[in-house]
Amino acid sequence: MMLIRLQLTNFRNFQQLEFLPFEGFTIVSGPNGSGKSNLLESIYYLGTGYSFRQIHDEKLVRWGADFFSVRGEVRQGIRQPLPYRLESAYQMAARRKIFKINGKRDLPGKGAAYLPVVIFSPQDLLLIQGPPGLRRRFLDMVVTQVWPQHAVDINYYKGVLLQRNKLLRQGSGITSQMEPWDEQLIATGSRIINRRLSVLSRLLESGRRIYEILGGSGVLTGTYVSQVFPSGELVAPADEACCRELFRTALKNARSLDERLKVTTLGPHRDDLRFLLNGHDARFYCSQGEQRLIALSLKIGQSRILAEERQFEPLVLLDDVFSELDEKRRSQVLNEFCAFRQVIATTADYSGDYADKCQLTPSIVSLHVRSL
Amino acid sequence: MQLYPEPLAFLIEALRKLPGIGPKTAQRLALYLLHAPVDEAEALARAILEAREKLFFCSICGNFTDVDPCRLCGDESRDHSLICVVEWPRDVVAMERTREFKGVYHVLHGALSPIDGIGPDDLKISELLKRVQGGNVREVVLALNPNVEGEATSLYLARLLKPLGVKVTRIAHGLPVGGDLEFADTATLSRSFLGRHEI
Repeated sequence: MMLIRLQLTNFRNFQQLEFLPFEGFTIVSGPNGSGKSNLLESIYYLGTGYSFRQIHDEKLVRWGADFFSVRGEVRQGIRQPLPYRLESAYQMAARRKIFKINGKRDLPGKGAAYLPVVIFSPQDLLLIQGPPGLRRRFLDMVVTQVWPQHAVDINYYKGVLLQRNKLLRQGSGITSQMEPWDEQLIATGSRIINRRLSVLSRLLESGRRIYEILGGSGVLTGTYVSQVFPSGELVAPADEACCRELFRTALKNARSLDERLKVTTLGPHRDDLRFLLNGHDARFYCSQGEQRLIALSLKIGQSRILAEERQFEPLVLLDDVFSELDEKRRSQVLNEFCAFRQVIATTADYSGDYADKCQLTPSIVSLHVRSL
Repeated sequence: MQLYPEPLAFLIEALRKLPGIGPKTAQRLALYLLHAPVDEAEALARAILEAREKLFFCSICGNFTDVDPCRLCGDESRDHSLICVVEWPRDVVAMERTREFKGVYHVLHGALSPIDGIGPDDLKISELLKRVQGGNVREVVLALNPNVEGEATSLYLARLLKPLGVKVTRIAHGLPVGGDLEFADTATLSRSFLGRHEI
């Protein structure tokens, strides 16, 4: 998939912008506040229906305007006679989001089938440093790319969990009523854990390889942290029947604690991922630069899985990912991304020297701030 | 300021409480009833009162009825050793339309849902157990909705019924007949895949 044209109206700081991205590697440079990230944000918005900065739609509208629109043309191959037209707009007054594919209204999430995007941003560091929920969400996202059914199971699990917690809050005389919820929690939960484990091992495998290629020192490994397992964490995938039995036992053992705290204290909703460098927890023992390289490796791994599973390559967006890397790593990271068909990167200070080292001939686009 | 005279406002308010009726629809219905011939409005009022007065729960299956036992439970030609358990009276109607099922029913009037404060005592579960304990029941078919609450209720019932020495089954989940495979959602498709059987 390739984005061949992008038109913005009233999006963030752009009143009007037309951008014709090139194939291969494009570097967008410009001073702070010129709108580099906004440009990437608009492309991401077109592909997913929301901002990667977790910001509500109305904040994406340019000051003083009452709507924004993002339009893009996507082409799958050179032989495709007419490009797909994607259009995403938001109207402030009506609080309405409109998404169209080839002029027909559709759900915003459907854009992913035409314009799959992956963003690498400074916030990726949270994958290592942030709360467990972010790591779960990241893993579940990758799992869903492999098994779409996973999203349904997660939703179902949440429904069971809600009911079970409510029952726990009712307190006395609930023992006989717990079983049907426990059974469903176990059935859905162990399926979720099992899928997570198998995708995690795939993710770690390609993550480790990429980490090495990027010039990271040490061996990247990881574990799945869960109270469901007696040891508290697991390295290799387990089979589903085994997961189910372990979950059943753990849930039974935790029952009195659950009843006291009036909440389900263990299960996939409480699990976490731990990334290790040479056997040490990356969260505590790695430098910021190393952590960034690990996060980057994992996310490249994610794009690889996406490419393998879906048979089409995502458009890669790099938002200022070079700032914390040394020069050697920069060129290695760039080299790694050359494998993707279309990459758009932003940087405040493009000097060209790190591109020279990897025989990369990026297209350069400069953004300038024009004071009105 | 009151926009409508009080009796009209009360009528709108009462209609609004009905499921699926919003403020606009309530207003429209109320005004329609005022414009309609007076006997039409009276007939509706009478129908509501009569339904409330004359209907009660069947002492056997728990469905609404005006005779006890209800017509389905009193039908000698049906197989009384086969009980189909459903959540709502409307589900009985849905099953009956198939003309496939020749057994009798049991209506729970809901499903387990702690969030809505519905526990086993709020459903007609003890009535079902008594019925099965009374003997002459060969099989109980659970035909509850395929969602979190329906599934939990099925598991709960199976747990209670199995020790009574009765066969407990559940209706299949899967593809709608006459539909297209390509339009089925992933959840339904994978469920139907799990429930495949040899032909």
